[in-house]
Amino acid sequence: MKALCWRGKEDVRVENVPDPKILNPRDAIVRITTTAICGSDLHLYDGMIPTLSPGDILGHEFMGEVVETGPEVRNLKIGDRVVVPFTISCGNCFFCKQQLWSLCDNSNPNAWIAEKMYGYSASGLFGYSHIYGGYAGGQAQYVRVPFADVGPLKIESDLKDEQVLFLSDIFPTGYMAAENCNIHPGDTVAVWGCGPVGQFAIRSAFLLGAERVIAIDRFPERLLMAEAGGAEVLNYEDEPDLVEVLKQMTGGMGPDSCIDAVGMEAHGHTISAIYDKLKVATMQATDRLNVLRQAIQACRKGGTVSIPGVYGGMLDKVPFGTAFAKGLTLKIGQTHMHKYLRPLLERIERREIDPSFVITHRAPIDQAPEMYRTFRDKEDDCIKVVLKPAA
Amino acid sequence: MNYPEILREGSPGQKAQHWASLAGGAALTVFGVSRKSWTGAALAGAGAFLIYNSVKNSYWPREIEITRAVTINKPAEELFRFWRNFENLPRFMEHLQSVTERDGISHWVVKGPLGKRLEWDANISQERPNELIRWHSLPNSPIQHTGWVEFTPAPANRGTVVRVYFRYIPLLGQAGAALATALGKHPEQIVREELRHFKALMETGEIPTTIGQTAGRRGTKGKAFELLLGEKSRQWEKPQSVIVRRLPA
Repeated sequence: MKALCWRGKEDVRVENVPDPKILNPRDAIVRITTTAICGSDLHLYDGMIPTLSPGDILGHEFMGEVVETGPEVRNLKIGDRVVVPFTISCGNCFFCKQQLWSLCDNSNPNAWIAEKMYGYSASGLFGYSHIYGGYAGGQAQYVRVPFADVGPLKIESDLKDEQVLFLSDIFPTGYMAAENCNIHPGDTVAVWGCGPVGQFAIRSAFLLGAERVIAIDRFPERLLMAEAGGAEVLNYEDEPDLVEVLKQMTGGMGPDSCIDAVGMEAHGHTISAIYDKLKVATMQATDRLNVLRQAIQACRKGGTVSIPGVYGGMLDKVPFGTAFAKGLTLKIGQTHMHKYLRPLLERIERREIDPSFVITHRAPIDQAPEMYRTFRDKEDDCIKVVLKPAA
Repeated sequence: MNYPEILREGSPGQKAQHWASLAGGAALTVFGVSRKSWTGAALAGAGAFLIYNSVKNSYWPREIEITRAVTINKPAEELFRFWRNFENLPRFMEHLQSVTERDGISHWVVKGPLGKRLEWDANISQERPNELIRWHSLPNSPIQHTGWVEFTPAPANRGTVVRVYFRYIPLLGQAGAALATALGKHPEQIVREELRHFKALMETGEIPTTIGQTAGRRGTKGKAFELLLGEKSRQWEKPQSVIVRRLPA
């Protein structure tokens, strides 16, 4: 089958690889009908994530049709149409049972690597380097899905692939980010980063009862899409003092909650942003945190900073004193996908939201390498790329 | 029987030197081979020499003692019953080839290098149902092995805390070398992984794996990485790992 393999920094290629096979009794094999490139795939593309190996198959946002099931999978049958969450969860451990699905104990065969870095291992992920299990990913024609009796969500309506595909990652991620803000009626939510996760965070914030959402980015097409979702937009390149602007926009209080949907590859032109760049370039820091700093500084007293943006290493110069002085709540981490799959599917079925709004580019899988570059460099107003593997 | 003096592990300085030259040699070899040139071959040769040197002068621990705990979301009775049937142990302990029990004596076989086996008999010295199993090897075994496993309820209905203790003292040099190679350089790592596998097997019915999964062509660096992680993708065309069957209810 064809699959997109990582070869090195900024080098991904579509190659011919063996078809996946059932390895464990709770596995299933899915023939992928639609898949996508995620913003976090760009961290892999840029070589920012360690433990990638040449030949690894990338991709963690995918859906398709079940073609084979292991002997212990009883809830799925051949031909079922499913969306597969990007986190792999067993459903039996303490964390899965507490609905902390992305912290599963039993789905990372390389847990010892994650333990070396983080002390404990979270769940395995599809296509996201060997720290997270080294599972073959879904930018391919077929994929092996472990714990298939827990993860895959059956789609039984006639919704199109593009309308439900983003249940695999970015819609629940944006939704959980908004839910973590503990939104009350009348609240103002500020969202940094108008990439796909930010776009879903904006719309989810409104679904959860926010009165205003202020969206921050620098790309006009992304700000336009955010406006279409109901947000007031700020281009941070035009605002030398973003934190002060946010304060004045909210009657001197600051936003009630702030969402960092950017993560460790933050950009910016302020002195602190340049400082971050220098530190990372000289290997004295691993993550750039200009956005996190601003979110902490802008948030109102007693508010919440919600962080779906991916961070990997150590941070330097975080205004923790500010966070303490204002009594902030920080909510952070990988999406607990399985908690949101069914409720969000129901929202889509009730026409409360059509996730396909975020797609700007569609391509056959053979063009995936070019699309990675287009997506990364934000050429051609690219916001989200969807790939068709069956070409 | 007169036991020879038990030799302890090397000093921290010796250990550091050993690891530095092993790691440096390995890195140099991989880098040299991936260059595919005469300079590369020379570098690989230097790396191979470093590896050989470090192995020759290595300190190999003579006594292995490990203790470890894990919390498993299952009742103590179920875990005790599974562990007490020692024939189940190789299902999650990779270093064991087989354990068979007859008339209260258990026969343990450890996989050695090049098909060699290390075998000894043991009996159970103490047993408290659903709480504790303690065993030790019989006299005249090539290896003095003792271990216990303890099951205590975890707080707030989280299941059971399983605490494990293993001790191996090889009494003959040959047994020591065979054991060390079979267990690998990190006995603690082995026990940690085996407990992790026990937890996964008991909670989910299977052990998570990617051995045998598909991947693109690995190349030299990719293959070295795979070796390091003990993964094998299907490009290597080796047989798949054994599928672990679910436990009977």
